[in-house]
Amino acid sequence: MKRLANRLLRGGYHFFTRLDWSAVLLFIILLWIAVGSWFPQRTPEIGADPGRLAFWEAEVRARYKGLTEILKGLGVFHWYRSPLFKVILGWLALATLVCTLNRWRGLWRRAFWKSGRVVAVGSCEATLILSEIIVPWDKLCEILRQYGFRSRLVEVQGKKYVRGDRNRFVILATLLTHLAVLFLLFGAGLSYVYAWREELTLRPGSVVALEHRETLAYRHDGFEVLRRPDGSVLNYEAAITILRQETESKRGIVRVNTPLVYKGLRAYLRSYVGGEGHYILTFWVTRDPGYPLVIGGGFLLFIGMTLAFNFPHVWVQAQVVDGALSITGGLGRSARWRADGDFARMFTALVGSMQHLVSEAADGRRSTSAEGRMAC
Amino acid sequence: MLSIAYLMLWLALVIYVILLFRDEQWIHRIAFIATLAAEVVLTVTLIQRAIRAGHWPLVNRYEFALSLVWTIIALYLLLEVSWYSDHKRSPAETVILDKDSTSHTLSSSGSFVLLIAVLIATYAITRPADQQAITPLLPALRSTWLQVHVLTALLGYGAFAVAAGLAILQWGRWLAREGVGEQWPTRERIERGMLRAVALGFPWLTFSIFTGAIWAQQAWGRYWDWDPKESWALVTWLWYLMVLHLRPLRRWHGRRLATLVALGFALVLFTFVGVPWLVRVVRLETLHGY
Repeated sequence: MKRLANRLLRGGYHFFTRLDWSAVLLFIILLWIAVGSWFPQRTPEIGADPGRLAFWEAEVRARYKGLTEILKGLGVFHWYRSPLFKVILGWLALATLVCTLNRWRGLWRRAFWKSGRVVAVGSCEATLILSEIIVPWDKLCEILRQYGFRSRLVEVQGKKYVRGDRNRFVILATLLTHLAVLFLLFGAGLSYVYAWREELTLRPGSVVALEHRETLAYRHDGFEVLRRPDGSVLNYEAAITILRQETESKRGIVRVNTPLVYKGLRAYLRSYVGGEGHYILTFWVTRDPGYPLVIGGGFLLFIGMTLAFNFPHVWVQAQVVDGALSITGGLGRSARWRADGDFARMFTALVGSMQHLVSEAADGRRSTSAEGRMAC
Repeated sequence: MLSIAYLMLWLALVIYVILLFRDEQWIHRIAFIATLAAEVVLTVTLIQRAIRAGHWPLVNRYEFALSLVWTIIALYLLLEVSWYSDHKRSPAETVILDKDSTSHTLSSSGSFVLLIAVLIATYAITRPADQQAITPLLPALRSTWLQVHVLTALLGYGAFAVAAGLAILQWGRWLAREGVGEQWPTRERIERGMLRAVALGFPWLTFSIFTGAIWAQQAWGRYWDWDPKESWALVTWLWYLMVLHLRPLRRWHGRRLATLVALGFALVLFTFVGVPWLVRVVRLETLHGY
């Protein structure tokens, strides 16, 4: 039984780390979203307002006629709030988490040179055939440094090799993007559970208390429509005061694109009715604790992707294999399509410098020959 | 001025089509110069409009389409210069990347990229007069986030258009009759170019979606509302994310990858042109009515 549980756990773990299944999951999510976009959604705001709900229902019935009940049964009108969609998003969160954990150790060790592994296969290879094994390891390190690599001499099981890396911390960018997705999903979850939006209707000079924060109230102090010389609307300005336990806490102007922020609460001007001096204003007061996480996650995602795609991890390794100095190099997985020009050119020049160095070390005896083989 | 740019774009397209069948250096040079000239004229047109309107031409579908054409051509020209200099600087005796190809660059894709640009330009100039007219900026559109959101979307969409051009070239390579397309770049080279363009565009699309979310939070008090435009931007993003996840898998190369990249651009076009149609036909509510 324990063995079966172990096998199931291991199977599940591998399932979540497979790239093809990640792609399938992404496809399912995008398909779900695409389907939902074809139907009017019954948002919580519509559901909370009986008048709006009745209007929405009438519209839907007029449009879909006999199909309305079937579509309702399928849940297409609250498609993005359906339990199945939440399960799919949960699957995405779990897959991202497992994938991140799975890759964390390996990538961390590679980024911090802790793997102790000699890589045998690279996208570019060259061999310098030596008649005598005279390899000036320190100078090879120096050459790598001249080419912008961080280099080091390593000894694994009695065999020496020189390793050089450029942008090796970019290896961690993949982790950053996966972490960003987790941030995003967590932030979206917080928004779903804890975010609220309350509508306040204020008459001139009136004070209306907030249902979600009973100690707070909003007062309408004035409203103005700013116009351009041609009469078109430039902006709307509403002056409001926030009262905390009947004491004035903050005064400010709310404009379109400029909400008034007070202790995490944001007041937005939604609409107005009436004329000069008698404007009745509708505000939305919102609180969303998930927003900073979502936006932070978005920027992390951008940074991670920009690093991974534009600053490729490049590595070069030199070691003695069967009496020859074997030089191997390549690019990190996330930027392999960049291998066409720059890397091959740099690798060729590097091999030339190494050949020159090894020839010199062999005391002038032209004992080396270079054989370039590119498979970028 | 716009008509001149449009005609020049057609001219450049015709020359690039000729280049598909006769890959000669002088034809390539003329094609490049014609495209550059079209871009210069389009730049002047956009600047004139920006001065007259008092804001960047990014606020409605007509202006976005023109700016998208400008971005596609700019990115294509930049990539072509980079491909060309990449090839020129490579020591041929050591870098044997495309042994079976004599093409200097990926310029064979120019005809397909320009075809996309011409189609979008045609969409722009066939907009009704009221959509082409300069109107005062709505209060909701007076935000710095609008500029950032739209400019980054242009970069993403432009790069995806170039990738789609390369994807069509990839398909052309498979479908071409014997004797046609022998001088075109190898499939591997086209694929690398295609992925490079996707990798260029994807972070910008991501940035665009998040700056759009910030703007939505500032303007409407909610960063995400499952508005049809938002939903389709997310569908497009997920599609390209899927492509990037499939890329390392051996089975998903060649024609399959090219198909995915081309379909990705079809989604981009649907997000841009199709969503307003969808909103109208299905009578959906949207805040993205510009």
